[in-house]
Amino acid sequence: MEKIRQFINILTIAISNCSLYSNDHELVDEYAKKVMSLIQEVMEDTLEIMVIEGDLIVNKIPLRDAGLHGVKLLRRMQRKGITRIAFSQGVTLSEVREFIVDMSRFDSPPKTYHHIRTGTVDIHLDERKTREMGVDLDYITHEQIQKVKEIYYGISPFKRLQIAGLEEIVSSFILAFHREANILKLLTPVRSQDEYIYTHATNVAVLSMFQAESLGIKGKLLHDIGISALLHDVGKLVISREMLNRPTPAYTEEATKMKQHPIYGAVYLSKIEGLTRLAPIVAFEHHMRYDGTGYPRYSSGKRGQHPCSQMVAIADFFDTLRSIRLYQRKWEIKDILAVMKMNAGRDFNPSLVDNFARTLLLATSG
Amino acid sequence: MQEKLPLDARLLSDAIIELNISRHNVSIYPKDHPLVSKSLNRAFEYFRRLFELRDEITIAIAKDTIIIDEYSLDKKNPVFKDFALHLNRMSIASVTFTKNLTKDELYSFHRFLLEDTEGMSLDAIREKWKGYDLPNIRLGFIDYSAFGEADGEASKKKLYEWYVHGLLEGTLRVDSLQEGVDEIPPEILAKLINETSTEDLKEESYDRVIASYLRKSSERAFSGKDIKRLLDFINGLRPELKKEFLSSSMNKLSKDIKSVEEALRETPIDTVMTLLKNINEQKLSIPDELRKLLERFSSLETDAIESRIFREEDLVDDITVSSDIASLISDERFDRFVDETYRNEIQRLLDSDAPAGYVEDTEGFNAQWDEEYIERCFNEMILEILLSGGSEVVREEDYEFFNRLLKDQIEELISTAQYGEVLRILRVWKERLGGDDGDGGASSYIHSPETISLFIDSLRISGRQKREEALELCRFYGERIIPPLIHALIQEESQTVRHFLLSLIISFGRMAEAEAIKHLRDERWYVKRNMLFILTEIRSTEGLPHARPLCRHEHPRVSFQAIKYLLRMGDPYGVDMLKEHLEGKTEEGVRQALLLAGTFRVKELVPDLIRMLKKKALKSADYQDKIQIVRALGLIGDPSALDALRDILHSRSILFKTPLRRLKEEIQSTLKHYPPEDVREIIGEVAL
Repeated sequence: MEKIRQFINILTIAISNCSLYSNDHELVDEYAKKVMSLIQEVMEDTLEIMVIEGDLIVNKIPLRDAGLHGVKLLRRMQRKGITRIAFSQGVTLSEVREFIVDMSRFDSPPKTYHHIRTGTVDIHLDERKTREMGVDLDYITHEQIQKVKEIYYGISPFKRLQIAGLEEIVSSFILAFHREANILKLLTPVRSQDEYIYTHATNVAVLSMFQAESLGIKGKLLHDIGISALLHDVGKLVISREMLNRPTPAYTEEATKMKQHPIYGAVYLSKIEGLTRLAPIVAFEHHMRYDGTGYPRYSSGKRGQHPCSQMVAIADFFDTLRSIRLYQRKWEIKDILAVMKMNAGRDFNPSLVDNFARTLLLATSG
Repeated sequence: MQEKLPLDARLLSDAIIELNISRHNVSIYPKDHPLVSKSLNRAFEYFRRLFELRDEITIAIAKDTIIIDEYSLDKKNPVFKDFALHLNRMSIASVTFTKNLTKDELYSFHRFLLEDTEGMSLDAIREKWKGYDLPNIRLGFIDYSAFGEADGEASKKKLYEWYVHGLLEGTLRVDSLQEGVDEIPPEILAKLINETSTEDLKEESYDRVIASYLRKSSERAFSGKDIKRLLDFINGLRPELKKEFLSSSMNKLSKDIKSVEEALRETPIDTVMTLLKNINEQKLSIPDELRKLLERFSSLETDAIESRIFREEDLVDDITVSSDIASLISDERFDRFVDETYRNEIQRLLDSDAPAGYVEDTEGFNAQWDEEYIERCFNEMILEILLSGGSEVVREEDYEFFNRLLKDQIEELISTAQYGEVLRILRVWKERLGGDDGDGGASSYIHSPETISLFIDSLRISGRQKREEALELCRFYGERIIPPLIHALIQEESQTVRHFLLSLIISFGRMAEAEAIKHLRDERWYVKRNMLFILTEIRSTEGLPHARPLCRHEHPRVSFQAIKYLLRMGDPYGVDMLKEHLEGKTEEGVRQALLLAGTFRVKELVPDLIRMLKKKALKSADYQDKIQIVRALGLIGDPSALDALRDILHSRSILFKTPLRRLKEEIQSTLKHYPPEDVREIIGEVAL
């Protein structure tokens, strides 16, 4: 089993090297050779890697605690839309090398090779059961918002987040905005103060995924963006539930405390096994601004927000102002977008604001 | 066979809890320990009571969930989860206990659960289980070989058509159709109905379709989803059908206002507003009670958002806003803050021909979604939290968690030559921990032989491309990295990599001295040569006594490197050794000695060189040797050699005309190295 583990580690490192450097970099060659040599060592008739229920199964044997490399390989397979890789006898170094290059490209479907097969695992689930699990839900219903509420209210520094339900919810959001061209119709107004946090989270998730999809992002990554957006504010719950539901303006110290919620959220989400890395990143960065200001800030000042955080920041701002519009009934959507445009380059990524505005207006004008 | 009765949920939960407790006790204490027998007795007692209801009890495991019959036990319960995960880790899919179960069997079952099956094939696990021979406990294992490649999905279009046809014709009962109709997306249902001739549609047809959408039974009330689907369906219909179906829907809804009220609670406000708008557009008359209900659910609680505005802190909910936006929100004077330009820009965006989903720098944007980039952002975020998060925000256990995580990352970062990232982690660790953090801590991890060996291996492959980062990381390690670097240098076959490793070692300066001296004792000539090279480059004084004996080493590359070292350090022994070599045991020795004499400008050798130069040339090759002497003298530039040079410049030879001409040319080219005032006269003579 140690050899298998080593094989998974080396394969993952080989793929990582390929993402980081050019395809002809020495490291890529070196690691392709190492992968090839390990394949020869561990291969029986075939060498098969499967993902079943979030576990890596190698040659029909579950690889428990696969470590960082195992998790990374699993994520890469998910991003690539595959749950099965099988190497067969006769596999060549050039096939292995090409396969490694292929796996490092997340935006293209896997290629076919003579001795390496990739695909999905058929789990033969009862179709009705799948439907009951909510995978084919078409609409954003109160029921789903209740699920978000349950997840949000299940959050505590002493409890682990139940992420299984999140996937379901996000899948249903995607189906919903595939059916409903006018994205605004999918946004839920806040009926009362205590509904605010999870209703807003739902809307931010829908708006973030809407942006991401318009940029050609799909599959696992789109799901990850949805989940990250849905959880962007969890840090608030770690601070104080009481403070969130208080129907009066916050005091200075509460506002200061509020500004720590990105850190609380990031710490909490970083520790959730199986959760996309984007979730803690977004929780940490969603109040940073495009120009590096905002809160909290990177002391190194080396890197700004990740694009996923930038999208969530746009969705967050839009939904907040849109909610105010609903009550005051004075602002047009175009006016909110104009405010965002005015702050583009400072608060928001100008390219993403333009994309959001154009896509939103096109979707709602039809 | 006893009829299958529903199990007592409480009893079952208690049985599983006791089973898990006894499992833990068995793993800690010997069989005869009172805690083991006590917990086994309790678990056994629960099973005995369960066997009164059933002859056999089967527990199925779905990863972290326990399923009994069709029900899953509380997924959030940590005990159930722990038990399920433990069984799942052993690839157990189900456990069946039968009525004659004994306490001993239960104990043995726990012993089996303690077996290490990690990495075992299913057959091997089965074989092991068979060895326990427990007739009243049956295990079902997860057979991963049953998982195969997936097939594609079949089209459902034909099926939909069949459902809709039967629904409109009334040839199928609504109840029996429910599942089929539920599956049909509303716009497809509308499309299929739109394709039907109006003549074929009767009032009953509308009602049947509506009834299928708004089915209400004792188990299931209307839901918000039903309302939304209904509305989507109606919106997709031909105008002339819209009114009929809407009317049929309102009739159906008004018959159960209570359920409608429940459903509207779940319905987004925009949906209710659209429904009301449709009703008004179609001029449909609906019961007052229903209208009032719809109107009530199309209004909002006005303070819900207002209270999220923390005006004093420029926070709208949690978003910090600039003072201009804060004023904009509170004063509602939009035009003052957002000038027309921005509104025009928004319009221009809409009118532009740019393709949908366009962002500037697409390549850069796309690269940021790569797993490696995301991982790097994640690392950076953790480091930021570790650096800036106070103990109130980041608790002790969080630090421990992050440190563990970063350790895993380091292995990956080193293997992918991301030394800069490794350094950032190490610096944060140093800052946070202020030095050594004991065994098993971050510091001992980074200095472990395994981590260092991984680093050296990575340096060999890609250190040259990341030279600066590699150097910095080596410096971070300090002295500790020198022995492994020297070891790698000794083993290395590639000359390019050897040069790189040498440059890394040399960058440590005198810190590398002791290790290099130690390796001078190595028998291999190339090791001695490399160590002497290091000592030379770092200008080691300690190495001199160790180098002197090596000046007479049998391998010229060792002896001359030793001499070079001594000369560089100004050690007179080096000059003596050079003299010895000049006296010429071998041609190559003399050539090397001349080269060094010139390179190191050894003035002490000038008389010897002059003597050699004046020696009568007997053959053509002697002139070639003299050229080398002239070169060495030129590099030294001592004017005392000029007389000898002048003599050659004025000399003639009949036999060796060409070699002499070449020697003279060499002398002329080296004159520039002498003091100008001393060579002015000779240059003048040559010019004549």
